[in-house]
Amino acid sequence: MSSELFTRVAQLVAPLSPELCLLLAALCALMTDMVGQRSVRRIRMVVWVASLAAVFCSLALMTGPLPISLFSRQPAPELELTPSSYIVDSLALSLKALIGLLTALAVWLSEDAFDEERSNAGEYYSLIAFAGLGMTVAVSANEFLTFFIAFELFSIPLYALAAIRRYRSESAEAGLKYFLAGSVSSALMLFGISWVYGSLGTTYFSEFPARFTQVASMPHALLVGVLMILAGLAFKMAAAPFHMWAPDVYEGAPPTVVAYLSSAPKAVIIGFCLRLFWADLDLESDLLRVSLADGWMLVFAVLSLLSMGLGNLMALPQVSLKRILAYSGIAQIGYLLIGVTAAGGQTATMAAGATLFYLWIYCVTNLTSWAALLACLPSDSTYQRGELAGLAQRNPFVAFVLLISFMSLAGVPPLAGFVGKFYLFRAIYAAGMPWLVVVGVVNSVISLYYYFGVLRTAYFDPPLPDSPPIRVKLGVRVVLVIGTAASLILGLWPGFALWSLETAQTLFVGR
Amino acid sequence: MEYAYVALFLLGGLAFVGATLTLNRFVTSPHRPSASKLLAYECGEPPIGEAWVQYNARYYLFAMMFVLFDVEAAFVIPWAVGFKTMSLDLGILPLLEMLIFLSLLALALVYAWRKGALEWV
Repeated sequence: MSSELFTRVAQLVAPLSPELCLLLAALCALMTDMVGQRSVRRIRMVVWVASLAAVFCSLALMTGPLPISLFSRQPAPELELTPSSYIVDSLALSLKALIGLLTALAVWLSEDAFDEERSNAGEYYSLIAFAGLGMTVAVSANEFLTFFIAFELFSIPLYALAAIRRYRSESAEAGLKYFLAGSVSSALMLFGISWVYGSLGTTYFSEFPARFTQVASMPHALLVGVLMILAGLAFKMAAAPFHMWAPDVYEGAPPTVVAYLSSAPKAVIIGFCLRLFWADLDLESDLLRVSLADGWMLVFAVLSLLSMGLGNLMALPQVSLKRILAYSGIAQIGYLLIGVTAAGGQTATMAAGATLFYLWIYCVTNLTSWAALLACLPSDSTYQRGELAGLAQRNPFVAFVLLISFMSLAGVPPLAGFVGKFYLFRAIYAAGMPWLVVVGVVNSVISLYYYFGVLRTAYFDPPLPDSPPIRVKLGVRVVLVIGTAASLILGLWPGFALWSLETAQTLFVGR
Repeated sequence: MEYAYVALFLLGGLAFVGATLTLNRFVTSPHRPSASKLLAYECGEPPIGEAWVQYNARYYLFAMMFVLFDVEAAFVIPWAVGFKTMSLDLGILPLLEMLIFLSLLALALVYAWRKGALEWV
């Protein structure tokens, strides 16, 4: 009896190990903070060790038999399959590994990032762990309500994190703006979910195709519902035309938090788009996809076009580094949406693999660029471009990291960003939308201007008199080294890049 | 076709609200402001100061603590109702799951207590 119980618990716990690592870390951080020994170092270590453990568990689970369905319910009498609300498949696990890595990087980045006697450090790290937990749950959600709960579980800590320097008005403002925009997106999404439920009678993704064959034609209510869900998702990933909040929030929130909230949630949302809209990437029997693919491909293509265009054009006149990175993030979401668009076409596997590949590159590079700015600017800086003047002489290492990560974001050839974009463009070309390739390439050229504008200031402008000396803390240095190494290795070692891409593609075969 | 009724109700609702407001504006209540009419209504008392004052929003903490127990009850009651059938099927597992859930909530309560959320300042 007891061994049977043990087996049952183990069967449940093993697939959930990445989530449990982060949950335990969050609770440990809270409790350590509660007992009053304000040992921030210990709390930090617990959270980053747990995040790396989550990465390790995800990778280990990927070697085992997949997919694992959890929390199934009784099948509906007229349908054959057993719907489950939680799925541990290779798409989810690869995203969990990415989220764990980003969480660990964000924790390393946060070393002494804010005056700890005023902001509650224990709460800060436990909120980061809770956000990571929410994201790891969200990428596994195989049912709308599970996804929504997870979505809130990572959104709410991020609102609180954006406002963590509550004694500063700009941080409070950023938190409030993020909260308002985020609540609108959640409400839109929940309302959309209710429309989908109303027209299909289920919230389980695996039941959608069968339900869809029962309704004769596309019900308008379903269309409205899916569009609202898409709008909610676009809000959260700051895709144009739902991007308005991003520059303001990025400007006011603490940069360590922005580094995290501008990368990790995008991984969740892009992964969810792949899962929801192109639900069974290798099953032609998926009617929802086959009958809607053209229409949805166009919707995603327009979102992508707007994000790239608006993001890149609005970034041109900016002088604030935070706003430049915010608009660059909006443009990058446009590139990622190219991949999501292509995943609706005939070469879905290739496109989904390329999207996942670029997602990893973008998230890590984006976090590295924030880390580079954080490393070289004082904590009371306003992040004006001019403050970077003479960075190459003041600290050549940070300047080099900035150079590599910005060139990678712009997609300059020998770097990871170029490889990723190349595969994205190849995928959309194969999917039969060559015009999006043209738009993407033109946008990459536009983006060179503002990325190189920043680099020109860092490399060619003379340093300002009495610029403070730059001391890079150990945690930040680790992030810088990891990010730069990733950009260089994936760019300069085509064999490895190709291997990663092929691995990403195999994730989508026979899921 | 059933949606036609929804549209009809929508139009009816809009028309009703619009008509009421318009009638009210033009027929029953002419707009002639004066200084004493524009004062904030304080049940006959002359108002003291501005309406935009800061006040202690501490009460929301208690509201949040209430939600904690509210959610707890919402989960525990269906669990208790179905406990017998569940434990026939799954043994001690349902009990363990509920204990985990309750301990998480208890931890939240202890945390809030420790942080002074229950003190009225």
